[in-house]
Amino acid sequence: MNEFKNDNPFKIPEGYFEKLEEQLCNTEDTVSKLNPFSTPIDYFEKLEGAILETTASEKVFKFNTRKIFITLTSTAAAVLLVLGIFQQFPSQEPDQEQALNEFIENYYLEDFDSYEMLSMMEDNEIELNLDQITNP
Amino acid sequence: MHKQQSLFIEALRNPLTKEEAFKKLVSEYKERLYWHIRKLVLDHDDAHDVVQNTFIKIHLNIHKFRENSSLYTWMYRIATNESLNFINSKSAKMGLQNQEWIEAKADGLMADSYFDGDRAALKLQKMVARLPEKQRIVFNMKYFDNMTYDAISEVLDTSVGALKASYHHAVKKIKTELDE
Repeated sequence: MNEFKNDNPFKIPEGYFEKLEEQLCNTEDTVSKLNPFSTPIDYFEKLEGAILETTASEKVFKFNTRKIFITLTSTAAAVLLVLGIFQQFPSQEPDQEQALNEFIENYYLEDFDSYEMLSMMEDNEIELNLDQITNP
Repeated sequence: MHKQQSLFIEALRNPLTKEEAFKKLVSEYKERLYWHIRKLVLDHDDAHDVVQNTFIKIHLNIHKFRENSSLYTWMYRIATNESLNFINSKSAKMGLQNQEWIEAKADGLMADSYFDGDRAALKLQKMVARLPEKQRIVFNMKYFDNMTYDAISEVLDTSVGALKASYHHAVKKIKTELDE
């Protein structure tokens, strides 16, 4: 007897409990499932056009934004480039001027001996140079 | 079916065929998505705004669609999220909780020219509006849209067990209120 105790000889249709659950939860009998909402006449015909128009304008907007971004970026890059060039010019000018002065100085000083060079210097310049030589 | 969907998605992603494919998509799904959204936001004008935003999102993000669910499920998910975001932003602007905002909408349904329901339908809508957000969504999808738990599970990214529990709670609350 005991060997049959845990055997259930009864079978149920496939998916029975899932269906039963849905049947138990179904409140169709109490409240109408009819859609109580409505839309304006021809709404769905117009909706399609409205959506396609919106997505098209979205594309135009995207394109314009991109175009504006590219324009602004290239303008900013051009301004920066011009500023960079102008900033380079003043720094080049003293360099060129300095090089020219050094060249002239060297050119003239080449032929002078130290006595002549001393004679061309002011007294305070001589003292300054002597101080630099004596102080390490 | 799967191959057909892949071909359609390919057409949606191809710049040369995108326009035509998107037109087809809108024509095919506009009503189903609109009604899903409408049942969540209740008002026609609000539903109109949300359905447009939903299709814009679909149009912009079709390249991000991973194809691990059906296209319809993916769009349904976008529509649900857009509806919830809409409710969040509207209620926040008015300094209300989401539920308070939706209950106010349901209370105003009788004066809505696009609501044709009788007193019983109005009562049901008011009761649904009083449900917690998750239960309200599940109830709408299961009861009104006749979706299977598996499909709802894919859309809401929630286990079937949790969905069944939500639906049971929702039905129980509504039945109790109806019996009162």
